[in-house]
Amino acid sequence: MSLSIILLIIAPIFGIPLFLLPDNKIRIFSFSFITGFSLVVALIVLDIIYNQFAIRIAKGIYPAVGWFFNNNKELSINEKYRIIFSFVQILAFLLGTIISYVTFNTIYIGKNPSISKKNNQVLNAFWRVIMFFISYLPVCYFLICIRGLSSLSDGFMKPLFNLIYYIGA
Amino acid sequence: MDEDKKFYLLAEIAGWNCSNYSEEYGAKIQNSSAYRTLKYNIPEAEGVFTQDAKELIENYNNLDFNPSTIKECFLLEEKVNYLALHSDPRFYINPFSIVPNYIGSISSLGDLALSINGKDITINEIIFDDSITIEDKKKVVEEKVDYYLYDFEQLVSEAIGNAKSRTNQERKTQNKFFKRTILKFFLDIFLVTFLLFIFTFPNNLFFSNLYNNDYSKILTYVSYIYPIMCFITLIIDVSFYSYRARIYEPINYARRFLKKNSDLLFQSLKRQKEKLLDYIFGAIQTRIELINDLSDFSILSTSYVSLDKIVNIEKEVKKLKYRRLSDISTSLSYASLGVLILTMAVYFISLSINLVI
Repeated sequence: MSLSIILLIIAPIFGIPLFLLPDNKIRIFSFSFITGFSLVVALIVLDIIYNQFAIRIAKGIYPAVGWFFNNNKELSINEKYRIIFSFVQILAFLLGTIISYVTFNTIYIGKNPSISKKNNQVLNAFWRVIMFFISYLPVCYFLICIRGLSSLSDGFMKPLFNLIYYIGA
Repeated sequence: MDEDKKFYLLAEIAGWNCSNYSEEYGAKIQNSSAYRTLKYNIPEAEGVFTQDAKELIENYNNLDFNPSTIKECFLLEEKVNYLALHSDPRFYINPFSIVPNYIGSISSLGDLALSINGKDITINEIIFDDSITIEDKKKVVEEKVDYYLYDFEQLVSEAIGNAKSRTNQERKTQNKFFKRTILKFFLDIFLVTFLLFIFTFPNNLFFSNLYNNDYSKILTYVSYIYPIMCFITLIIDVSFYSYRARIYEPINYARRFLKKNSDLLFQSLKRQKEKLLDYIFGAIQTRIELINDLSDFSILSTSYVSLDKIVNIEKEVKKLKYRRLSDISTSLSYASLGVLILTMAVYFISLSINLVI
């Protein structure tokens, strides 16, 4: 079992709703995931713009979560900080998504499900694809970033993982 | 009413016990042509969304063919005759609530029946009846269209009632489901978090056992069963809630829509009434026969909300597919909770004594 296989196995969890959810719900979820996804991207951009932004955030959190890494001798302190920052990102993603889901579920009316089905099929398919990527990719990104914690091998997607986040840099 | 029955009715009033004869008549009414007509017309009425159709079906279902007295026989026969006559679609169909692609025994607004001077007469007959003045024709048509609008507003109110969970029982059921959903959501979150924990927490015991399978250890089994259980539970939960969201979307959409736009819906109903009146008045003025226009004024599935879908949601929820998926989802949640507790126990005991059990 490798991380590559795990990423493929979990894909149906994100894929099944695309076929079952109604169009209005797809949009509500898409808008919510866009908020969560934007937060993740914003944190990455902030890390690029401001030098050592991730490290500074993680340093502040480390005293509270440092116990988790006590037995880990393989990871450097900077890699531990990076992993903590990944947890911050996934937490921001989940909170952003949940809060905006509650908001959009209240304010978004949508279209009559019986009628909208017949029209805008391309647009509906587009939103489904968007929803899949903006929900599945942050989770994959998170698992790739924290793979240093696990003894699981990277598998056949190792070059891609190293491109996204290289352990031991 | 035949002569025999009249005789027995008289005898019964005079104090005779005629219950033996009443049983005989119950079977006779069931074999009458009126009852056979009623029985034949009922399936068509079942697909129609009007109060009249609903009442017709309700009365049909409440018919009791075991009368204990001749008086009851008499009433039963009258009831069957009345229902048989009014089981004709022209009496209960409402042009505002025609289902899309309706195929029935009538196809025109002109076939709908109105009551004028105590006589049932169709709109087309009224149009060509020279004995009635145009003003009277318009008055009777307007009264009937007002009734159609009232009938349709009842349906809308029922649909809105569904959308807003009118009764305490409905609220209780929804609250129960909501609580169960929240519990399952947190269970799923906990399942994934713990799975992430055991795969990321630095612990040689777990990984060495995972890579060197020792089948005499419980940890070996739970290391495999737990992730598989997690995956199946998540797949089933995601499928069930997505499927449920699809079924409930008309009602959820209506709830969102009506929160802000219920006036818009009722205004559109009034506009539709005006259009229908203009159409029939035009036909009365120009003496044109109405043909193939029955569904032209239907607002059952408007661009606003699909009331037919809302009314039918309960049927969807009672379907075997929904119930099976719901049962599987609940059972799996209990099973995965059991596996989670077992895995946590085995994992933390192994960790605390530093020995794989």
